[in-house]
Parts: sequence; structure tokens; C-alpha cells
Amino acid sequence: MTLVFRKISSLACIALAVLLVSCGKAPKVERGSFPLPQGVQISDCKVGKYGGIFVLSGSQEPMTFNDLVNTEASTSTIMSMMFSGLVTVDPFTMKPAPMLASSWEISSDSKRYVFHLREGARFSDGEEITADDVVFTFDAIFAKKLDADGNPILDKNTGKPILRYPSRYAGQYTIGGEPVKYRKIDKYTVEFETKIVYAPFLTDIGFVSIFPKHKLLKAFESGAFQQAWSTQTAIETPSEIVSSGPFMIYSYRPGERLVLTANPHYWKADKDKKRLPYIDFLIFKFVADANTSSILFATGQSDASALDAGDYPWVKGFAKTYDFSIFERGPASSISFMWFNQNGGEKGGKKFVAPHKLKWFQNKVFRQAVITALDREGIVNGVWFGRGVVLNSIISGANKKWHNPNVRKYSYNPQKALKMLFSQGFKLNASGEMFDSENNRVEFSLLVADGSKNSTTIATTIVDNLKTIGIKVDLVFLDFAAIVSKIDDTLDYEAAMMGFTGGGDPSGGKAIYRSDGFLHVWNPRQKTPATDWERAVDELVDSQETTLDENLRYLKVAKMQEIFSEELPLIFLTAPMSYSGIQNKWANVKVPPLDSIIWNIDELYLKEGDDD
Amino acid sequence: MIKYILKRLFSLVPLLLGISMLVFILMYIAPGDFLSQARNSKDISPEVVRQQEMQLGLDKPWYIQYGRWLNSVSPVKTSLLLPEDEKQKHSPVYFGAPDFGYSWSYKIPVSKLLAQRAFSTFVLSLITVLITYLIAIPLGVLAAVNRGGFFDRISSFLAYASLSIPYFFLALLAVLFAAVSGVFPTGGQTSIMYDFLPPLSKFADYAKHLVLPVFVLSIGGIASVMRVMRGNFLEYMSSEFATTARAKGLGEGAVMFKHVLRNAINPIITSFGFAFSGLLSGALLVENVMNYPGLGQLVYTAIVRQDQYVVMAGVVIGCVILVAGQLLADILLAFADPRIRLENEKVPHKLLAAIALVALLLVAALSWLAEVHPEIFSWVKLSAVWVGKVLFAGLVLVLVVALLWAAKYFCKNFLLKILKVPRGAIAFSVLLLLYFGAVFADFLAPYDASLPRLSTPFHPPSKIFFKDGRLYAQIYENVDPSSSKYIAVEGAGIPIKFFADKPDSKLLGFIPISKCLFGADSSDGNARIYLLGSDATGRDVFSRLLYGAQISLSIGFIGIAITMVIGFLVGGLSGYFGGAFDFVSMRFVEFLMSVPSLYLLLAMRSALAPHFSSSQMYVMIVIILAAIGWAGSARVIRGMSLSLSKRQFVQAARAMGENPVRIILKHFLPNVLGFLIVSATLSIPAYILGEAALSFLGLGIQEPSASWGLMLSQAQNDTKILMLGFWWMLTPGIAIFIAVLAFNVLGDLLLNIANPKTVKRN
Repeated sequence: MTLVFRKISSLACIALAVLLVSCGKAPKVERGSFPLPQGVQISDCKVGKYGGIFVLSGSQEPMTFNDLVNTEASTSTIMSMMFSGLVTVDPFTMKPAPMLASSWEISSDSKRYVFHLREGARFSDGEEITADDVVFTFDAIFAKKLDADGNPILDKNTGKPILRYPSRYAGQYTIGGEPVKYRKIDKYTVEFETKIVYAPFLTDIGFVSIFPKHKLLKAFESGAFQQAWSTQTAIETPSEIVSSGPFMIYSYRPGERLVLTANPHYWKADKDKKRLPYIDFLIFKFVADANTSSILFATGQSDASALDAGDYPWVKGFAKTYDFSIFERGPASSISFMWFNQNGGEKGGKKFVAPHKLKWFQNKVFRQAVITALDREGIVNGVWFGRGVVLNSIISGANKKWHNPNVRKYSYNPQKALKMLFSQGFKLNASGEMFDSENNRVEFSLLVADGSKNSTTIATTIVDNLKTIGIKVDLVFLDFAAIVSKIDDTLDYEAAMMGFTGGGDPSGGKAIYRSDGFLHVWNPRQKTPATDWERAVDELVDSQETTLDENLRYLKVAKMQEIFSEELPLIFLTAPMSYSGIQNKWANVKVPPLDSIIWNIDELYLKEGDDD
Repeated sequence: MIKYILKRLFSLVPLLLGISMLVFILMYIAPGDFLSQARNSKDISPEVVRQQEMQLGLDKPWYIQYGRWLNSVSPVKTSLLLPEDEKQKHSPVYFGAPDFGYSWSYKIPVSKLLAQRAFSTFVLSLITVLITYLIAIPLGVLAAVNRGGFFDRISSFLAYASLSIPYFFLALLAVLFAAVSGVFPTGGQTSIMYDFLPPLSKFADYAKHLVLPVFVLSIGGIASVMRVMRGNFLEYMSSEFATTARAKGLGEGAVMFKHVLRNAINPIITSFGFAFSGLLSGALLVENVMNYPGLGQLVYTAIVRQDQYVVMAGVVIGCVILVAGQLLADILLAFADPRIRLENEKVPHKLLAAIALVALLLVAALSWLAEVHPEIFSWVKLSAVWVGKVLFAGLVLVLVVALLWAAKYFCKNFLLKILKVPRGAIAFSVLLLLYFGAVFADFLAPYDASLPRLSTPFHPPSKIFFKDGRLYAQIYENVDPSSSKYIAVEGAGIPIKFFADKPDSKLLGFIPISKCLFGADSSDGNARIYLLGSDATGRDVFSRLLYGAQISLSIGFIGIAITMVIGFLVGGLSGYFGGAFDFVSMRFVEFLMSVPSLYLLLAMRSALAPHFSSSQMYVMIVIILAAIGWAGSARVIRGMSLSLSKRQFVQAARAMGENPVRIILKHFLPNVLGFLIVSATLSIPAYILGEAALSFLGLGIQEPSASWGLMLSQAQNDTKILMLGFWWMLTPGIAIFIAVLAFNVLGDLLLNIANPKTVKRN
């Protein structure tokens, strides 16, 4: 009996050993079989050699490979590896840089833009990228839904035509109330015209990637455009998804990974006329939990990763063992804040906010006192381990081009906060509780999205801070969706805490800044500006985008930030520092101030001696 | 047999209708919808969002949306429910293939999406079940044969231990182990190089990735199947046929394996079906932590995103698997034990039809009201709140009485016997200690549960030393705030004062004491003694553990009391009355038992959460857990009451015209109280672990209150805690483990005491 057992166990050991050593080798990727296009872009990077697998991990899977459906940032990251637009933004200079359009001209009235496409640039299946594809892309964005007689169906509420394939782009390319006009001039030239002068047009035009007409026309005409290029396509026939960027799909296993391989028709080459990218395979590994991503990077199982301030201290401990470097990228570009509901309206006879509370919330000094009572430096130390900054402006310091460092700042001083409140008739009772001049207890409830580890800590700190000046705060934790429906639709809340992604052109934040914006959260969708300062902001926001003079634009945006920091409709909280790590075996790594560390992934190559 | 199976399968239809409608309504009530994310993106204009709303049909009332879903899954369809532009394409009634519809986020048919994942979950479940039984049955037999010996003791201790670990926590530890040791993959189903592997290595790679998830999923199952197997085997070992066989001179081996084993394995076979049906919910958590691309992960994300059609399909599949598992169990039992006949019950068709009609009318009336007079709902809500409050007060009263009664019974019948057994005495005193800590938390804890001190995040536990006749707590300096590194300041300490001041401290929340057991004797109001270190905002972990115990330990008690009271009333009455009442209540019980509970929990939580403040969340969680949990005990009690009602003393009482409530309270209750207490003790761990699991998914108790599950989830969410070795943040996990272990040991002992047959043999 024991002998048998021993035999079985030794067999099991051998089997296990076999299981553990199994490994494979990636197939060779053939290069140089296609000539470079006439309009090739020559990169001035150091010349490298072909080969290597680059692994990235992330917690969000692509929902689609169709740019018209995509609504998510994570899907965008993956798609940016596969698809190109007309123009991109250089992460170092923050100026428009050529992509599929090699050059462009702007008319003297600043409303017409002529783009010259790269001659001979091709999609990954070898078809040429021409003006027809650009026109097709915008046709798809603006296509109207038609009834049986071919007339556009109108939206009953707005009277505007309903889109056949509603997407974010329709809104983004509607400028001055009208869709941009576009026309083909010749095979390699397209012209766009905007109704009004619109400064961010050159950056905005790069948002959408150019669709291949020869592949998607059928789906467009049959009404199934949004179902085209789904994850199912990527599983069954990856070659159907033709790319215009450095990589194309090799294989996709849902829930596990997406394997991309070098696009043999990519329009970029190095100084030796070798076509980029150098990397053979780019693999996105999907993990259920963002924490796992950092663990994978720290233990050498992925090649690059964005790291948050909380992960930095332990990840850096592995840097020697697994030979990687971590770069500090400055404060994150997102802003986080809390705000009071200043909407004086009502629904069904019920006020959104009790009148006596509305009076506090609309009082600028009350809001300034609240921010003065918050120990935001303490939050930076506690939550971000000292690796963060206190936010002072509505445009984060990370957005160097537009941030105004000279706005009014508020530092932690509970005594001063008390004085400010006393000056407005608030008073403390014997047990240290705050009352207003009409003897209402000063208390409010704060909506916090649950599930986020840091917002919970920040919220509990706010409760404690405000308790010291006698203000009582009740936390209400809700699903993100529930919070959105409260701040967007039902409006019955007192205060909330949230964050917005930042970066990019200030015009991208119009929905927040303008008084009629739907994300003007403290009092959204105003018919006319409720206050003088909101009117002033509206004016600044509108006028900055109708001039192409960047200096003038900056002055207006800076003034707008001054107003926000003085009026404090949003009580700015903190921003963590952000970090990026990358394995040292990769050459040509250039760390830009704002963008992802692998923004130039097409130029990365394995250093000599680092074969794997 | 075939008729029986067909009938059972047919009964799935109303079940699925009911459950799908329930889930659909819950999703509809839950605030926000699929487009919430888009509504809050600054680069998506509200106009586009509105158009997408129309495209998805989200602008329609719920019954139209539900009707459209039904329309697409049913083979007989009507064009009346279709959107305008598709109406013309079909006749009013037409036939079509059943279809789960399109996933909104993936834009592909749900059936294809499910097909992408179903295989993975199926493989994981199948292997888990097989491994569980292959390991557990021999171990159980070994333990029984070796009764009282070393192996038996070790294996039963290990079984208790593995039943007491929250398995998502185990999953997390497994991932961490894999990451640090590199022996097994950290997650996923295949490795990165999979696509480039030769076929045999592909298989090996797959197998390697299954090891850890199967381990985590099967460990609890192995423990419980092993315990059952051991019990069965023991029972049959001393049964009459075994004795007869021995007397006839049959060898011990033949007796054991030919006769005893075959009988003892019967109940295990039937549990096979149930084991399979429970795996889908279990896999959800493990798939999420271990990143295994299965159905659970898909459906969970769909619930979070409110991708309606995917959720609905997931619920339907979960439900079908559950029912199929139960059916499989019944059929297997019929095969294994020829004495059992699958019977068809008489169905009171008229009654059922009437109930369905009333329910339908009610739902229709409510929807009509919601459309036409939405303001009525604020009245309904107000009155519901008051009715709820009155009911709640009544329930509290009943619960207190029930608990006191149970406690009296427990002391009289069980306590002495438990204390005689060493492990019983230990488990009982551990529980006593834990509950003492919870009750007197306000006196024992030096600080308030939510008192932060931002300058000392992740402070290590203070060392206590003795100097000059006084106790001191070591002072530490935060030498590297960027990684919370603390170094002890040589010789510096805060003197500890007993019966220190603690302002606003109220024992049990209402007796003001303003003192606590110990505190810092220092003029600096900020000086802290961290017995068990501090958390991310410098709150005292020791104090939070004590306050957390109030929630974590009482949730089980209150939940189980509700479960038992409802279970006893429904089970007792339906056993006593039989007939239509029995039929209806048992169908309802089966309905509850067929709902994939975790999905229902998720849906209920997001539908109800906005109407409760975070302090009321505690009550809500107990109610949700109990609402799903009472069904099981109702079924068992019905069985007991069915047999009791045939006994002479009950018949006599009945003949003398005693009223049913009196009979149930006076004659039934004393007879089942023992069972109730035992099964309550055995079920309390499920509540403690359930609270932890909810907190893990971010759906449990909310900050700033403390509960063990919440505290543990903080440690799970924040990788730096594990990576920088802040071990004290894991103490809530240890507390959960100890409490659950003690309850399991106690429950097992009680089971032996209540069942004298086993006692004799032990």
C-alpha cells in the first residue's frame, strides 16, 4: 500500500514538474515586405532593432473596437494603439502634431482647415487611406435617422433630427450649433469648415480615428454600424478589424488578454528607413482588480504601468530585483472637490434644498469658511502618504499650459474659519455646535460614491474637520449611478463629493464652467446666469475659444480660474502625485509631462542583450 | 420518472417569470441606468445621451421594457411591443427563435457573450465538484474508521478551520502567495504566451491556472462533505445490518466497504446536485479576486453597469442551474435509494391562478399609479415607513422574548454538557469573551471608532513596558511619512492611566459613563495608545475592532432570530395545516431558494440603498440576509411539524379544540426548540461571513461605522497594507476566523448533544 502510494506521488511530482516548465516561443514577425509610403513620417528617435513582447495590464477590458461606440477611457487607450486620427497633440509641446494628415493650412478667417493626407499610407490590409475614408467617417458621425420616405426623423423634444448612430463625436464636432462642414478636394486633401472661429478645432479633430470605408460601408448602409467591429469580431476574424496605427489585432481572449502585433503598413519609419514599430507583440493582460495590475508590474510580469501615490512606496521596493524605473509625473490632472447644491428650484412643490440651508450654501463666505476649516494638507499626508498636492484651481497644476498658479489660496485654519462664520451671523452654543442667525443648526448631508477607498477616507476626514467648527456632516454613501441621478436629474441633495478628469483644452470643460452646462453641478442648466460671476465666467469661456491667439486665450482662462477660486462653487480637495514605471530593458523611453509613458510605444525597442 | 422530470422542468416557467420580473423591477427602481456614466462625462452631450436612451428603450416605463425582454426570449412574439421603426417588419403575432437580446456595452448578442465565458465557469465548477468529492469521501471514511484517533482530531480541526475562513479572503491570500512566490500564476485562465504554445503545453498551461481557483473554491466543500461523510459512516458502522454481517463472520474490510460505505454514501450523492448549483454564486467572488474570466465576473460587471439584458440572462441561467441541480439531486437519490419515490403533488390550480391574477393586478395598479399619480408614492412611502416602524418594534419585542427563551432553554439543556467537553468549554468562553467585548465596547475601547489622527497613519501597535511602578506605552516617531515607517523613541513612553476620561462615551449607546478602561495620561490631547496599531487615517484599530464586534457579532444573532421566527411560523403552520396553505408557502420557499441569492442581494442593495442612511444600512443588511435565509429552515421545520402533527398528543390537543397558534407554541415549539438552537448556532457563521462578503463587494456597512468585514475590505482594497507589512490591519480577519470557528465548534457539539444517537457513539 505504501509502495503504491509512493509511486503515485512520485508520478504526480513529475507531472507537476512538466506542467511548470512548459513555455513557448513567439513566432517571428516578418518585416519589410511592403515598401514605405511616399508620405512616410520619419521619426527622429534612436534607431533600434526589431523584436520583443511588451506586456501591459489593466482592469478594464475593451467593450468594442468600434470608435463610434466607445465611451470609455480604457477602451480608448487600447484603440489608440490601433487607430490613427488626422492630427494628434505632441505631449511635450502641447501643440498639434501630424498623424494621418502630414500637414494642414488654416484660412485667413480662421474658419476653414485644409488637411493633406499622407500619400500612399495604407490600412493594415493594404488598402490606401484616402479622403474618401475621412468623408465616410464624418458621414457616419452625422448620419440622420430616416423614415420610410427618406425624410429625417425629428426628436419630439428638441425638434432636431435624430442621429442614426448617436455618439459623443456628433456633439464634439457640432461647433457654434452646427455640424462642421467637410468635403473632399482630391484624393489626398480634405477641407473642414466651422460656423464660428473655434480655437481648439485642431486638437479636437484628432479625437476620432479614420474609419476604412471599404470595410465598414456595408455595415453603415445596413444600419448595423454600431454592431460592427465588436469584441466578437476580434475573437472570430481579427483581420476584419483593419488598423491605421502601429499595431493590429493578433488574437483576443475575452476576460484574459488582447494580443496585438506590428502593423506591416504603419506610416512611420526610423532614420534608417526601417518601418516602425520595433516591438513584435503588444499584449494587454486584463485583471479584475486594479491592485493586481500594480502587483504584476512590481513583480516583473508586465512592462509598464501607471502607479498611484499609494502604490509607489511598496512598488519601488521591487525596482532593483525586477530592474525597472519609476518616474514621478507630477500631480494627477484630475480634480476632486465637494460642493453645495445651490439650486433654488423645486419639484412637485418640494424645494430641492431647505431655504435656510440654501442661504448658507449661496453665501460665498460660508463656502470659504468651509474650505478654510478643511485640513487638506492632512488629507495629503494621510491618504496619499505625503505624495499629493492641495488643489487651488479648477484647472489642475498638471495642465501646465492652462493652469493659473496665482489664484486665491486657502490654508487650514479653523480659528479663521470660525471668525468668518461669526461675521455672517453664525454662532456657537455652549457645547460647541454651530447655529445660524435664525437659530438653525448648521448641518448637511454629503453624498459620497461608495466603493472608492480614498473618497471614503477623505469624506471621514471632512466630517471630523467640520465637527471641530461645530458643523455636523452626515455621510450618505451611494452607488455612482445613484449619485449621478441625484445631481443630474432629481437634484434633491445638499452636498456631494466627486472628481472630474482633467487635462486637455479648457473648452473640453465647458459643460462644467458654463452656467447652462449639464455638469455645472452646483446649479446646472441655468436658463440665464444666476449670478454676476457666473455671467462673467460664461463670457470668458465663450470668448477664449473664438480667438486663435494662445496668449489671449490663456489670459481669459486664467481670469476664469481666479473667479472660481474666489467664489468657490466647488470646494477643491487634493490631487495625488502620479507615477509611471517601465522596465529598464526598453530603450527610447521619453517621459512626457502629461501623457502616458508609452505614448511613443512605436519607437520603443529592446536594449542590446535583453532578448526574451 | 420522465413525467416527473418534465413536470419539474415545466414548473421552471412560472419560477423564471417571477424571478426575472423581480430582478427587472429591482433594477428599474435602482437609481441610474446604463447611461449614468455617459451622463456624467463632460465630452458627451446630453442630446446624444437622450438619443441613446431612445435607442435602448430606456425612456419607456418598466413594463414595456420588461415586455420587450420577454418578447425576445419567448418563441411566440408580438410586434405590438417593438419600437416604431420595427413594427412594420412583423405581423402582430409571429414566431422567432428565443433570443437573450443584445448586450448594450458590448453590442453583441448576449448569447454570444455568454458563450465566450460559459465554458470557463463550467470547467471550473465541474473540476471543483469532482475534486471536492474525490478528496472528501476517502478522508471522511478514514476519519470515521480512525474515530477519536490522531487523524480524526487533526482532520476535524482542519475542517472547522477551513469552514471558518471567508473564502474571498482566502482567494486574496492565494493571489498574494502566487505573486510573491511565483509558483502558480496570479490569476487568469491561461498565461501570456498561451497563443504561441504547442497543443500539449496549452493544456498544461490551462491546468496550471486552474490549481489555485479550484483549491480556494473546493476547500470549504471538502470540509463539509468530509464531516457529513464521517457522520454517516459512523452511523452505519454500528447499525444492525453491519452487526449482522460481522456476526456472520464477514471480514471487517468487506463490512466497511461493501455494506457500510454504500449506505453512507447515499446522502452524499444527493448533495452532489446541490453542490453544483451553489457554485455559480461562489464563483462570482473567486472569479473576481482571481481574475478568472467566467460567467460570474461577466454578470457582476453587468450588474454594476446595469447592462440589463446581460443581467437578465445571467439571472435566468443561475436560476436554471440551481433548479437543475436540485432536480439532479432528486433523481440521483431515487436511483441510489430505491425506497424513495418521486411523487407528484396535487396542485391547487384555482388557487394558484387566483394568486397570480391578484399579483398581476397589484403590479399593474402600482405601475399605473406610478405613471399617473407619482405623488401618491411619497404617501405610500411615508405610511410604509410608519408601518415598518411599528412592525419593527413588534419584531424587536418578539425577538427579545425569543432570544431569552432560547437562552433559558440553552442553559437548562445544553450548557452543562458543553462545558464538560474541553473544546466546548473553550469555544463557549471565547464567544463569551467576544460578546463581552462587544457589549462593553464603549468602556473597553480607549477611543471612538471614527476618531482620526492624520499625523499617524498605519502606526504600529504600541509596545507596553513597565517603568517606575507604572505602565507605559512606547512612543514612536514617523521617520518616513511617505511609507509610514515608525521607529521607537528610546526610553520615551506615555504613562497609561486606568479609568481614563473618555468624553461622550455612552455604554450600549445610552448609559453615559464618560470613562474608559485605560487611556493616555498626558496633557497632550493628541497622545494615543495604539494597542493594535492604527489605520490609514490614524484611527485606533483596537477600538474599531471592539465597536466593529457590535455590528459583526449582532448581525448573526438578529438575522438568525428573524430567520428562525419566520421559518418556525411558516414551517410550523404549513406542516400543521397542510393543503393549500402548505402548497403556496412551500412554493414560495422554493422560489426563494431558487433565486441566485448573491445576484438578488446585489440588486436589492442597489435598489434600496438610496432610501437608507448609512446608519440604517445595518438594519437593511440584516433584513436582506434574513429575507433570503429563512426559506431553508422553514422547509426543515415543516417536515418536523408534519410528523409532529400526526403524533398522539397533538391529535389529542386538536380534538379538544385548542386553537392552532396555541398548539404550535405549546406543543410544537418545545419539540423543535433544540433543533432551532442547534441550526441557529450552525447558521450564525453564515451571517458573519455574509456581512464580510457584502463589505468586500463594497455593499456592506458604511464608513464611518466599523464592522469586521468593512475593516477587512480596507486591507483588501489597499495593496500597500499587505506589501508594506501592516499586519495589524488583518486582525479583523483573525477576529472573523475565531468567532466563526467558535460557532462552528459549538454548533457541531450541540448537534451531537441534541442527537443522542451520535452522542452515544462519540
